[in-house]
Amino acid sequence: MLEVRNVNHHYGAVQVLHDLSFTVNRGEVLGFLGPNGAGKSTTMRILTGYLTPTSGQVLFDGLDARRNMVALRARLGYLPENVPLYPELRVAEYLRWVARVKRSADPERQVAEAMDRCGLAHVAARLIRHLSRGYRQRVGLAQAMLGNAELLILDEPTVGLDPAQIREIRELIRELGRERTILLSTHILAEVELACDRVLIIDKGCIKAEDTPSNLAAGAGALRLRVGVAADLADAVCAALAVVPGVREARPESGGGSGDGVLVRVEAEPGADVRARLAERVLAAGWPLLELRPAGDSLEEAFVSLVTGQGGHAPDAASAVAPDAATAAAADPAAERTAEEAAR
Amino acid sequence: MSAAVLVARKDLMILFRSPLAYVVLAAFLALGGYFFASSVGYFELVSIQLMQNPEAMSLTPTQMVVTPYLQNAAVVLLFFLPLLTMRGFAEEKRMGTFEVLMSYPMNEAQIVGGKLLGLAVFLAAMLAAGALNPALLSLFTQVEPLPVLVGYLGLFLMGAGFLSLGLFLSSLTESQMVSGVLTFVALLLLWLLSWVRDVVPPALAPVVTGLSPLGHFEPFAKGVVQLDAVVYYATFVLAFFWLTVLSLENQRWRA
Repeated sequence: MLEVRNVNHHYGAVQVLHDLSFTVNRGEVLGFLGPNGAGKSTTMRILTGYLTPTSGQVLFDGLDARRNMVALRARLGYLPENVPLYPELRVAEYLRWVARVKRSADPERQVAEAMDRCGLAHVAARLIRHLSRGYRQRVGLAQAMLGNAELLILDEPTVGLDPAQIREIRELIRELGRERTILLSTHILAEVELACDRVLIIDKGCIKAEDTPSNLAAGAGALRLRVGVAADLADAVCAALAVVPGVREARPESGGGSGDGVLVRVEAEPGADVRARLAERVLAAGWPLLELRPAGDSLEEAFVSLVTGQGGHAPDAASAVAPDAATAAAADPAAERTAEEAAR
Repeated sequence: MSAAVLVARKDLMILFRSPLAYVVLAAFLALGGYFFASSVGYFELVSIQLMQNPEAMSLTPTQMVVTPYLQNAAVVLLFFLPLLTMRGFAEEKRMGTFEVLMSYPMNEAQIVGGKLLGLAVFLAAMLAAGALNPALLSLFTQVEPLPVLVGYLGLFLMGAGFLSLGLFLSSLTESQMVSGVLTFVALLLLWLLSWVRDVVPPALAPVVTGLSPLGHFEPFAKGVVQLDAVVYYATFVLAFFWLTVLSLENQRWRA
């Protein structure tokens, strides 16, 4: 449906996009994942025609987007990052206006339907100025889906919302994704896992990976384990575990031990399940086994390793590299939110 | 409905929800009313004396009251229209709504045309409210309607030119303040042109007169439609309209 070909973009002397090429297929929900400042918003502005790229082409159903701007915009719904709305207008009034501008065949019915789906019916007569952040976000989404919007471009649609609101908006996006094509940018990993069919990981203006969330997780996919052993010398434990068949690496955990034991981080060869053998080896050496559990979320590992360009060991490896602090910051709230959601 | 009309409608809705519209309207009516009332008072004073002077018998209330009122109104517009145009594009850009507006199926010319249309409708409403003054006068004395209408046409054309200029300047910045001050300074400089024409070297005088928006308003104020003045204002409006469209198109390349 949408094809981006070799797009480069400069702001002055700074190049923010490097030879970006990707396609958005009809009917899919494509996640555009990257740390803050990776070039996500710039890409989206180029796709909506707000910015003209320094070089490269955007094709919309095979047509050059720049030459057929107005016709193509009729099929586009766009929600920019900070949800800009007119505070002086009332919700229903604003949406009716947008429906007319976007050439909806039956504005009244469509607005009623959009308000219904986005849960706005009871605030229809309120001034947008008086709405909470969550409701504004819904108005922004409703605004995007009006008209004949076949392609929705949503720039960080859940930023600044509380966990309950995030869940609602994600639900809505998933529902919209059944009938429309959606390009969704985010720096939150959980969002990609929950809502997207395919993920594009972008960093510093380059595409680092492109796959389904589960394949990406599997690709990064070697099993990582934390092994807690009641022993005195971490190095001795590491040496013992490193020789277990299927183990690629064993090294002391930097995060300190639990209680009186040592913690060892073990990385297995891809596809190898070494849990039973590890347990046997520890017991055979005469050390009590205190814990044996997976270390870290695998998609998160994939993301961090792609973005930092390092071989895993996240998130502590990521935070150790100063310029990539944003990455760790991006990954951490994601983990928190997932936990929060799980707790609900 | 055409996209431009929709943009105009939205802008008018927003304008009338803000106190600014009412403040500008009230200020325009108060100042205009003061000028009108004072010319009526002056006319009353001199008309008794004039009646004894057969040469001055030809002076009409239209000439003595309405023409000076329209000229004063033109200057009042010059001061107040920057307040209306300063929001223009600057506010949309600052809030980010401009980005959404540009993702809707319409081109730059429709957006600029809509904004100009919305402001022109407000200007027309403002002038119509001000027209209560000559209308009241006509209850008490004979006012020739056609010259007054011509005067209002001129006022509207000149105001539309100021609006177009103001919108252009607001498309250059994200700050309402900067946009408003720029427009105000530009209009003051244009106003100056009607003062300096007697001071500049004689060779430059026609150029200065040719550029002055208030100079071109004089025939209108006297009830005369002059083609060159109409062409002047039409060019003024269209030139800045076109510059605004260019300025918006240009922003795609650098924003």
